This record gives sequence, C-alpha cells and structure tokens, in this order.
Amino acid sequence: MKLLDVVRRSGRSLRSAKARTILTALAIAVGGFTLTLTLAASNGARSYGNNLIASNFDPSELLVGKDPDLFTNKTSSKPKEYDESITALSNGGGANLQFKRMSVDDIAKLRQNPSIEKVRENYQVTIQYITRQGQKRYTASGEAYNSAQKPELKAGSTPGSDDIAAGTVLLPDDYLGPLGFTSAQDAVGKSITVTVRQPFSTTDIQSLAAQIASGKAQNTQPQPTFQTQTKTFTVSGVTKKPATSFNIGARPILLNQSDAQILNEYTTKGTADYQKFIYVYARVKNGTDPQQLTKVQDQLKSQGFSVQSVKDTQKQITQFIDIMQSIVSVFGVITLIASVFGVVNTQYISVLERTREIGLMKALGMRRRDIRRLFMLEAGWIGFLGGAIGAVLAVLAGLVLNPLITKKLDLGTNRLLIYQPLQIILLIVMLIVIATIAGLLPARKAAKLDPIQALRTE
Amino acid sequence: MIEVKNVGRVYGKKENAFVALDDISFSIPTGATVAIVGKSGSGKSTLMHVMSGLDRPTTGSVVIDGKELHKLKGKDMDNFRATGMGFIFQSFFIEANQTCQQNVMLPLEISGLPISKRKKAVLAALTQVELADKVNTKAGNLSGGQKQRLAIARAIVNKPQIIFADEPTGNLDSATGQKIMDLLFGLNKSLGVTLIIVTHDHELAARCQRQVVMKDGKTVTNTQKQNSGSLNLGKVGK
Ligand SMILES: Nc1ncnc2c1ncn2[C@@H]1O[C@H](COP(=O)(O)OP(=O)(O)OP(=O)(O)O)[C@@H](O)[C@H]1O
Ligand SMILES: [Mg+2]
Repeated sequence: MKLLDVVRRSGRSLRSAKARTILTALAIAVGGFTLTLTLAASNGARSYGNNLIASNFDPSELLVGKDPDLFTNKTSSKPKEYDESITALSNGGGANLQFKRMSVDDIAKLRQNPSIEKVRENYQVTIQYITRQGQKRYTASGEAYNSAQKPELKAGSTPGSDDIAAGTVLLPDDYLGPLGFTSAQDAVGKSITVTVRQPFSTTDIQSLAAQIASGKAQNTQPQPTFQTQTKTFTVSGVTKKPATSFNIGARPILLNQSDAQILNEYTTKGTADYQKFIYVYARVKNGTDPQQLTKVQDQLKSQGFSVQSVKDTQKQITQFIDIMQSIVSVFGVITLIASVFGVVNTQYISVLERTREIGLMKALGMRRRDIRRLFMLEAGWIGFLGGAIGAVLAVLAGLVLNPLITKKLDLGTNRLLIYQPLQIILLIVMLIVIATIAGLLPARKAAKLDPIQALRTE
Repeated sequence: MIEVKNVGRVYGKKENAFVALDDISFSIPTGATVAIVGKSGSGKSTLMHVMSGLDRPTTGSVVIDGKELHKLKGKDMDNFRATGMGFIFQSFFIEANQTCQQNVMLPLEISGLPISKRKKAVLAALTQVELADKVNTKAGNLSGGQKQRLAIARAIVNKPQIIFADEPTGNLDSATGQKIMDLLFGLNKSLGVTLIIVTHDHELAARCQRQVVMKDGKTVTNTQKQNSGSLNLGKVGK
C-alpha cells in the first residue's frame, strides 16, 4: 500500500468521526496554545531586553568597577577589608551594600591603557532645583549625556558628536508645562537655570569655630546657610519618555560631560563621594570585535578591576527570561501529557469501533505495517490539528493582546508577543510526533487483529 | 490446484471446544468450479475461510499450487489475500459510509496499483456487476442486492485466480442472481478462474463441476458433476 493512500485513508476516517477528532485535538490545542504563547512572550521579552541594551549601552564599552562583587549576582555577606573608597548603598530592605569604588588613580590607569579609547565617568548630579524666569522652582536630577543611550527627541536635535555642547541641556518633556513652555519647539533655544548646593556651609563652620574660640558656643544655634551656585543652560532639545529605559521615576536632565563633572564635584567636594565612582564606562578600541573586547576585559580583570560587558548584561537578562520561559513551559508540557492520554484513549476507541473495517482490510491483504501506519497517522493528524488550532488561537490572541499590552506597559514600538513562524512550525511538528507516538499502542492492537474474528464482531 | 488435507478447525478450548471442521480432505483442480452445500452451521463458511487463508486450521493443511498456504510468511500471505484470491463474504462487509468507488478501490490500494489505473479498473468491475451508475453513491444507501453486487465487484477487481463466494446470490432475485452467476462462470470460462461457491441454490450447485456436501463439519459426499444424481440436494438448505 502506498503511503499516500494510507494518509488519505486516515484523513477520511478522521472526517467520519469529526466531533471526536476535534475534541481530542482541542486537548492538544490547549498545550499548543500555552506553548506558542510562552514562546512568543519569551521572544518578545528577549527582543525587548535586547532593545533595552541596544538603546542604553554602547556595545564596545565596558563597565569597569573596583568591587569584586559588583557584577556578580550574589553579594558576599562576609565583612570586607576597609578601604577609604568604600561607600554604602542602602537597598529597599534597609540593608547596606558596601562597594569599593574607583578612584581618580584607577581611572588614570584605565586612561593609560592603550586598548582603551575613552573613559567616561558616570556623573550624576544632585540638583536643588531648576527654574526659569518668572516660573516656580522644581526638583530635578542631572546626568551626563551618554551617546549610547540616544534619547528620542520631541524637538531640537541630537548631537552628531559624542556629547552635547557645553552649556546646553536636554530637557525631559515633563518639565515643559511646569516651566511655562507652550510646546517642545518653544523650549528649544530658551534658557533655564540649574541650582546646586555645596554639602557644607563653609561660612557656618568658620563662624562656629570663631564662636567656640570666643567661648559663646553653648547658647548659639548656628543657622545652616549652604552655599549654592546657579548656572544657566540653553535647552538644545526636549527628550521623550523612551519605551526602553532603565529609568523609573523622573527622568534626569542631560548635561554635557564636563558640565556634569563641574556640578557633581561642586555638590560632593569634601565628602567621601568626591571623585569616587562605583563604575565608569571604558570604550575599547575596536571594541565591536568581540575577541578584542574579551581580551581587554580579561586584561582589566587581571589588574584587579571588575568588568562587565554589554554581552554579560544581556546574558543576565536572557538568563532570567529563560528561567521564566521554562517555568511557564512546564504548564504547557503538563497539559500536553494529559492530552497524550486523550489521544491514546481516542485511538483505542477508534480501533474498537472499526474492528470490522480492520478485519476487512486484513482479509483483503493489507499489511500489518500499513494498518499500524494508518492508525499512527490518524493520531498524527490529531496532533497536527491540535497544534494548528492552538497556534492559530495563540496568534489571534496576540493580535488582540499585543496592542493592549504595549499600551498598558508603555512599550512604544515593542511587542510583548513575537511569533516566529519557524518556531510555530517546529512546535506543530513536535506535537505531530508526540501524538503519533501516543497512537503507537492502539495502532499495534489494530495491526494484531485476526481478520475473521474481527469480521465476526457485530 | 487446491488440496485440502485432513483439515480440522476447533473453536474454543476444553469444555467449550467446538469442532467446526472435522478431518476434511479433497482437492480442486485449477480452473474448476466447486459448490459447497450443507445445512446452516455445518461449517461451510469456516471451510472457506480456512481455504482462503483468512483463518488457520487447527489441524491439517491447505496446499495451493504446491505451497502450503498457512506456512507462508506474513508478506506472502498478504499478497495471496490481496491478489491471489477474491473473497465474497456472506454478509458483504462493505464500508457503508464510503462510496462504491472507494469500496472497490480498497483492494487496488492494498495491492499498490498505480493511481492512474485505478479508476478504470474500478469502473470495469462495477460495470460487470451493473453498478456503473452508482460509482459515487454511498455504499450504505444501496439495496441489499446492490450491496451484494458491490461486494462481488470488490472481489473481482484485482482479477484473482481463485474466487471464494460465500452465498453470492443469497440476497438477489433470481434474474439478478442468474446474471451474477453468469458473470462468475464467465470469468471461470474466459480466464480459468477457480470458483468455490457456497450456495443453497440447487440449480447453481448443479452448474458446478463438483459438489462438496457438508454436515456437522464433515464432508458427506464429494461428487463430480458426471454423477451428480447421487447428490440429494433436497436434504440440504435452510
Ligand atoms: N468463532 C467461533 N467460535 C465458536 N464457534 C464458532 C465460531 N465461528 C463459527 N462457529 C461455529 O462453527 C459452526 C460453523 O459455522 P459456519 O459459519 O462455518 O457455518 P455455515 O455452514 O457457514 O452456516 P450458514 O449457512 O448459516 O452460513 C457453527 O456452529 C458456528 O456456531
Ligand atoms: Mg456461512
């Protein structure tokens, strides 16, 4: 018997038992649906993660820090040897994370490295307030412009070079209304003022010292009057809220690197934070070549730095997504296992129902192998049907859900559910194979039937 | 040449054992026509099944053209069933939810005839049994006699050299029955097909060269046509 004939015959007998076929297929479809959705969501998450990295990091840059725990997932709870550079970051739970930091010397050492093109300190500025003429004062934070982050602009232009011009800022669009601009375009070219404050009031300390010297210190409550500095900047562009951003909360004003340095040092001078960095960005020469990047990474590690590349960050994100994916997949696989029993059951019933037909086929000389194939193919068809139904439903669900999720989570042009045809085809093939294997036992039973006995059953 | 040698067939085991065939021996030359007659339950169908390789004898053997039928390998046995013989079942065993064409095509599919030749062969077989106009009719919608003829078409479509017919005219009116018998005897004459027919019809039995009369699983008489007068056909039949 030709395989084509067996295929056609199996299709025909499935069609003659439509309800049963579809119900069994639906059980498989549940698993197929879950797995298709899981795959799509993981694709989406992975793609989102990659976009996030691509729009926030320069792949040829390395993150270089001093603390050995910095880029590891676990933080050692053992006490660390004290070092003046150590700072404490308190996390949400109130626990302190102690980090060794990069000093100016360390940075100088990096700058001397011939393989490193550029070192960029990651300046953050604690701003007291920003304002402009005739407007109220508003809280804000500042950060050095990072060309790898390529902020999307509502108005103005991104610099062609690595940095924005000194004396200019990129203003988040959230400030447009509060600062009295009528539109983003209106803000471009206008000036705003940024006010920062010194950590200590030097005049207070001097007067306090004088008071102590004169013996009147006990009754005096020195009024802290901090020295502040106000700088005027021209708005060169207005930034939009990016779909892919690590920032939660208010977005910072983006400053020229040296402006950011000046403001940062003004606000930290005399504190332990002065010219200390948890990490800096080091751009590797020809760093787009992964081998070169790894080489420099290893070299820096041997010099006692802890280093992370964009790839490492990506790996961490991907790893997380992989774990999530496996957890959800388990549910899909469980439903699949349940549906396998459905297929076995359905096929046993089918063999029973068609005992006479099988007897006839055997009496007419159909080979055992062909009868076995016939029933396995039927099971395979059920698997195909289930997979196809599940996949179609999942894709439809994606069509409905994607716009909703993207809107809800503010993902911009990113899609949470990304369907890859090849994946879906492979999944369906897998379901066909599983169902076919599930059909093996009933098929063997059919092949073993004795023709006359089978024909005699009513 | 079909040789039936000391064939016995016992159904069930121990206390429930029932001897359906008891030490039956006879032989049928190639191209002969044989009628098997006997009362209901005498073992006619059982004998046909054993002779055609659909069932196994408990004892004895069936030798066809020098080869012991039940010692054939699975593949050879399947080949014999598919192309060596055609079997017309007492209760048709046609697939009611399939069309006449699909029913008659099944043996062609099994024997692996090229697809292009199938339709023609099916139509030829259906024409022989005068069902050409029912090609696409569901078999379940046919009348009893038409179903009988469809079963015959399926048995002859592969042009087998031996045809076993288990009461092929039982459901037909005498005119149609006559036509079917003419057809089967025609195949015997023109192609030398060996015909083995179970029947209750005296006239039909008389047309065969040989009669095997069965009673309680044994052959009572085994006569050639020349002296068929010794057959008391009046005693047999339902
Ligand atoms: N599978 C079986 N198990 C037990 N007994 C059986 C089985 N098949 C047939 N028999 C018995 O064997 C005997 C012969 O049956 P068979 O069908 O050969 O009769 P038959 O001569 O063809 O009768 P009819 O003219 O009614 O068709 C019957 O008594 C029947 O009950
Ligand atoms: Mg019978």
